[in-house]
Amino acid sequence: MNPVTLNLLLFSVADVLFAVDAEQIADVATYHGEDEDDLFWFHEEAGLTDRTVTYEAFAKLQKVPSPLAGEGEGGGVGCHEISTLLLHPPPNPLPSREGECNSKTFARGSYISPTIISITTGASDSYRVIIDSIVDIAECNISEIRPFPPLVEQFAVQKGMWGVVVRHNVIVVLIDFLRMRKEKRSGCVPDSNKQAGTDNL
Amino acid sequence: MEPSSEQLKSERILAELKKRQRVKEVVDVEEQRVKVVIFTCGKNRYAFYGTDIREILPTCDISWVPCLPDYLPGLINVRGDIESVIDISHFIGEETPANAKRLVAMATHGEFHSGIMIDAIEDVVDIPVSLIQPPLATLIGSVRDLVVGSITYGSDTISLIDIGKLETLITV
Repeated sequence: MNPVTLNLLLFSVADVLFAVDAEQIADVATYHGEDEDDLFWFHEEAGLTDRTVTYEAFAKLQKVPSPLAGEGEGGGVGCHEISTLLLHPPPNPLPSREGECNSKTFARGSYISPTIISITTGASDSYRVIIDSIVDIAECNISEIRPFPPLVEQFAVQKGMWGVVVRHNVIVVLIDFLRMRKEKRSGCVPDSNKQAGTDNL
Repeated sequence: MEPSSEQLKSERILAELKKRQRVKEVVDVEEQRVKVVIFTCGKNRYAFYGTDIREILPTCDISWVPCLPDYLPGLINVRGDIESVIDISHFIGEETPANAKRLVAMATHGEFHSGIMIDAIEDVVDIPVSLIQPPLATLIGSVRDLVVGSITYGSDTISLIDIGKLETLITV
């Protein structure tokens, strides 16, 4: 039976707001410069490395001071804890990225506060992704989720993106990290002629 | 003495004139007209069939999505519906300023629907179908695959772009 609601963890990378089902997240921890084989930068996984973005969708987005990025001892926050943190519309304006980035940079932006999320893979191997700026945790009714328009879906699904929700008039891209990893492992090359499905979500 | 049944010359002329008028009226009624939306993109004017354009949206935020081709700048939220946006300048070879405020024409053609980025709306006019001429022979590049005809607007000759052809170009 399909769930009625999803708990979504919202985060931003390169001024794009993404969300992942909190059930896929086993742990959240602050990034301290680790460089390990099971650890990947989100922008590399999602294909944000070679694009120049000229269309702003993020200007009005606001940021919550996040209690989720585990600070200090212990580091991570379990999934059960995340799901209880249903926040209200965030009160503070998103700070400018100019001049405040001291983290690893990439093609079109920087990570403000790199955060490692460990993905629940159901397998022995681990899969961890560095994301940025955990913005919110929100409960989302599945009726609020919109599939990608057909023109976009064929490209987006191949990178684990499977739909969108609109929060505070901002379009949030839904990410399925398991699908992202699966597509990566299958060596999927974007093919404009392929009409990718979403049946594995 | 002239026979009374014979039509007077004036009557014959009058009848002929009325007949011509009736034919003209029939022609006027039957001449098919079509609505076209004239817009600017880059330095030139183009037109869509009015039946293919549902509405024109004022400048709106386009949400970029990773891994999309250059002609798909992203998504827009149209009263709760998420729609793709096509940058038509990519196909017609026009250059547009990167940060220019642009409009989005919501296009529908059968099952196909998407926003299309344009610079500005110039006019919406009804024209007789007979005035649509074949595409200009001077068109080059991918724009040739999109244009179904040309129309005269003022002193300009404008290429008429078919959304169905755009759909074919993108989805095939």
